[in-house]
Amino acid sequence: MNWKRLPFVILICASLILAACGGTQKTTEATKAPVAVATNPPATEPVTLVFWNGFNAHEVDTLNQMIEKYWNPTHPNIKIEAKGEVGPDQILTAVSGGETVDVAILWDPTPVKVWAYQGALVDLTPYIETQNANLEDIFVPAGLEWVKQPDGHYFGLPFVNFNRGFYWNKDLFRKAGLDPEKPPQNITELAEYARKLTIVENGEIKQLGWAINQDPSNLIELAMAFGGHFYDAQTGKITATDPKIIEALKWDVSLAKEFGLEKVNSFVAGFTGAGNDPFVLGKVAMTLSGCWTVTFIKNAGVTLDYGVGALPTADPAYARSNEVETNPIVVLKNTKHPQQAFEFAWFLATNPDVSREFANLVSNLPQVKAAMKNFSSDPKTMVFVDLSNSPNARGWAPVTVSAFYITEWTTAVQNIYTGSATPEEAMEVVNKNVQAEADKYK
Amino acid sequence: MRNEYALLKNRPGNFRRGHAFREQVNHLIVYIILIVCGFWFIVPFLWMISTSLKTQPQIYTFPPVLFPLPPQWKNYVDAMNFAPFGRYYLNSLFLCTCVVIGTLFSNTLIAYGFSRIKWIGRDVVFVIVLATMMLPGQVTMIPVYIIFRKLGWIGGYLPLIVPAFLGNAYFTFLLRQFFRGIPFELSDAARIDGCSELGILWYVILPLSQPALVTITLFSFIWTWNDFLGPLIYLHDQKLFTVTLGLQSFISRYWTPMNMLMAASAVAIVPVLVIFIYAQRFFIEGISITGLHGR
Amino acid sequence: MLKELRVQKEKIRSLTKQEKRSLRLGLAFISPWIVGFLILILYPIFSSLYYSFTDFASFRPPNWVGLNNYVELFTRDDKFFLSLYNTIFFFLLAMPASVIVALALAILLNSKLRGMTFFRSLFFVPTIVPAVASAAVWMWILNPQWGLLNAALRLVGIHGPPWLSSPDWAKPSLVLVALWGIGSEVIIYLAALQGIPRDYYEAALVDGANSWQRTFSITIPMITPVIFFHLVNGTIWAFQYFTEAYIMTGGGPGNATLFYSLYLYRNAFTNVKMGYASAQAWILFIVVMVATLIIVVSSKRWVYYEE
Repeated sequence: MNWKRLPFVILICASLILAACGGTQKTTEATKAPVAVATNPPATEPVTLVFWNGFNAHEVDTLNQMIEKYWNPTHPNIKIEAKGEVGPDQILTAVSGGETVDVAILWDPTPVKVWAYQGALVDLTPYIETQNANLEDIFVPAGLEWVKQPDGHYFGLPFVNFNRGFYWNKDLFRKAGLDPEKPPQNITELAEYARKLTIVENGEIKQLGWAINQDPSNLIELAMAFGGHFYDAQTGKITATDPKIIEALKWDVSLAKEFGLEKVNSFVAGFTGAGNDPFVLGKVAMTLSGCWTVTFIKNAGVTLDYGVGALPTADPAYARSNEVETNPIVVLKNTKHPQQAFEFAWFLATNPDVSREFANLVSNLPQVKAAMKNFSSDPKTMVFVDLSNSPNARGWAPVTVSAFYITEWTTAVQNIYTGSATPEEAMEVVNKNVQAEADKYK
Repeated sequence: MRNEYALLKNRPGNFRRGHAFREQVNHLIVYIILIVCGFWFIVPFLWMISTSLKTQPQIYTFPPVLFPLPPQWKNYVDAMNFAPFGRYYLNSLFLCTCVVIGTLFSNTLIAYGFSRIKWIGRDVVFVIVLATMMLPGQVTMIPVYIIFRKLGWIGGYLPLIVPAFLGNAYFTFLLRQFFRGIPFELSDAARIDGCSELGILWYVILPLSQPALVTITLFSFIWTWNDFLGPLIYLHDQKLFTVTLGLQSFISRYWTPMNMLMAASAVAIVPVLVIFIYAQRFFIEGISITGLHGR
Repeated sequence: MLKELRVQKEKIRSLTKQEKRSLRLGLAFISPWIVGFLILILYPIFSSLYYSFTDFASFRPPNWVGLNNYVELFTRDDKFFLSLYNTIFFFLLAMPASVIVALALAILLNSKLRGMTFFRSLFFVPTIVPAVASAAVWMWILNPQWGLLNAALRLVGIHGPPWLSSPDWAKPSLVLVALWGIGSEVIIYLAALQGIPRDYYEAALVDGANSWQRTFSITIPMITPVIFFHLVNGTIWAFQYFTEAYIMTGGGPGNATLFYSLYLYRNAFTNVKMGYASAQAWILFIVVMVATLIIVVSSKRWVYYEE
């Protein structure tokens, strides 16, 4: 043995050991998320909870004020330390680095199930049971789907939902000779109106009647309006090749082809980026947009005479379909105070005043039914609130691989509209890829 | 510098006149190219300023307004009040100063070691230095975070400052290339005169490397000033936030007040621009790095 | 063979006093780097190498899976090859363009004409604009309907493509955006140009060389060390290209701008597959090393050091 090499060898061994140690915190770990057991110090000891979320400084200030007003008086022993502007990636880095984060609010629900699967989150079910509450009664059902695992265990709680709805520009309706108070009632009328509202000058599209290919998320809701299901709730199988989804895509693409696929693409591509919503600019007469756009239009100081409602559907059975998501509250496994963390999460999720005030602030919707009454004085916002509670409101794909699914869907949609794939072909690919990915999580 | 014409005094007159003409044409071409390219480089920046002076509805008009009237200078005031930018500026300034000091300190030493001293295995180790630049950042992110957490440094500036004192492959590489270009006769002479290696570095090499040193100061400052991911991961307390984190606060999920964001970005650029213009001096007149004749 | 090794060992063992002293000095000077290397690089490197052989998912302990990740990348992952292709395409387009543009600009800016200070600041300003702002700015310029670029093209009668939304033009658009930030390379070239001895130019002038000849026989050879530096760094940068694609195109349209690093990031964070991403990272490491090695080895032929 060459003694000169010894230090180097020791170094390598040390590094490997460090690497191995860094990984194995617990020796017994099932491949699915374990149920976190609460062995807590008694709830009367003063405790500080680290609370990370994705909201900006202004919103965090408001949250802190609400915590001051509603939480502190009743929970003097539990202090909350809030940090904003933290996205899921930073939370992931921190938590896997061993950082103690007790409660977090994610700005989109897709990470919840895969994080739960990987054991990052505390199973809240035993704590919920102590509340003796039926979650389906308290919460808007569509928001709940995102935090509930197939076996019925909850790994998060909803906090302020959001959805999309149908917007139409009343001025442009008038100009085209349509009754501004009578939006299209079904898909056929939607196509008719779209044709009437599209203006082409010198071969260039100057105004588009219906927001074709505006946003992959919009197409998801369109597919729902045709009765499409992206996954089977019973079996968990991915159903991207659902004929109704393909029908929806075909409908949209054929409408595009009437005006020229390339022209439509050029037109749509002209409006990318935040604040470049073509509907707000008056260039598109009818569109799907989020519940937040109402506030956006107000804040932007734009004068627009518009209406909001449910997206026209292909069949009355699918009436008032809309895609609902939530900002989930989760408790991270690193927490040393799961009981208190849960109490705080439960407070955030179920307190109707917090829900009402905060949802209004961020232009989202209340996640608890108790906050829906008197939620907003703005009738347009109330339209979205009611939509989110309709029987056909649901999360599009609350499955473990939803993040992967949306990426695949976006690519497929882009391929369809550049003409490099037909809807059938594209959906085949999506189904194959996403199912393969989903199978890894059995 | 000697007059060019003096050099040409052995050439016939019409050559000198033709040369003068060619020089004029060259100058014109240079200006034309620079103006065309300059236009390309400045327009995006002008749009940034233009947006920063618009009212909200003006941002969303179509076709877009290029010269908003009246210019909303109050956007700048609003932007600075949107978040505690005064403190953020001081924080960023503090952080950048520390990092620049660390960078200059460590990289001059390291580059000297790799270029002015011949030692066994030097070039092999240098290849390793180069190789380290190739590991993608995302994957080392978590192990590095673990190390800092074990040291208890998370939440403060240490994870952002200490690595600057441990060298940076990019700057080491740059300095090494420069140092290698300085004639060895100079340092040999100093060594014979009894100067230590550190002395050679300080008295001989560094004075001749001003352009390179200014360059790495500038870059190190700018990168730290604009660094987003580092402060995002390691800083938790809002009181310690930097300017880039402050910019991020304009971007809410659904709505970004573009005019304020552009205004704040424009203000964020100012310190760096000032430093750059000041540093320009070192690039203006040719600094001869050779002290010997007849080369 | 063993005998030769023993002879080698003898040679190393019997370093002269001078060589030993040089070695100690050398190591002393680079000691900050050594410390940084051991703590911030060696450990993470071994960690990531280890993770690449596991199914590490960030939150729970990794399980050893051997070569599974690598096999899956090479056999069942078409995005792996696609992203590699996209990255190499980008590299081959961006590198030559950036060397030529940066060098040309630096040479022009080095002239003793009035206003150079102004122009230098001009070209440098883009590099200090925060990424968020410059992304927004460029998305506007490349806007197919009313962006500046297509408006300018319309003036000369060309119907511009939808740039960032076109599968064919998305990558070249990103190269264009990257060239906008070339100011920092220009500065480095400028610094190098300042260091070329005036004597050379004067001698050439006396010999009757015109400016083209002076450029090609003096300027360019003298700064080949910096061109080398630029190439090596540019290669590493091009293969790790991520931020602008992440902000401006998200990998689209249809994965046309799904670069290797972007795909890696997605696997690591969005899909929570750190083990898989680590394997990807190591493959990238090797690819970049090979590319850099080619440049380094070839550099002996065309880089001129004044030593």
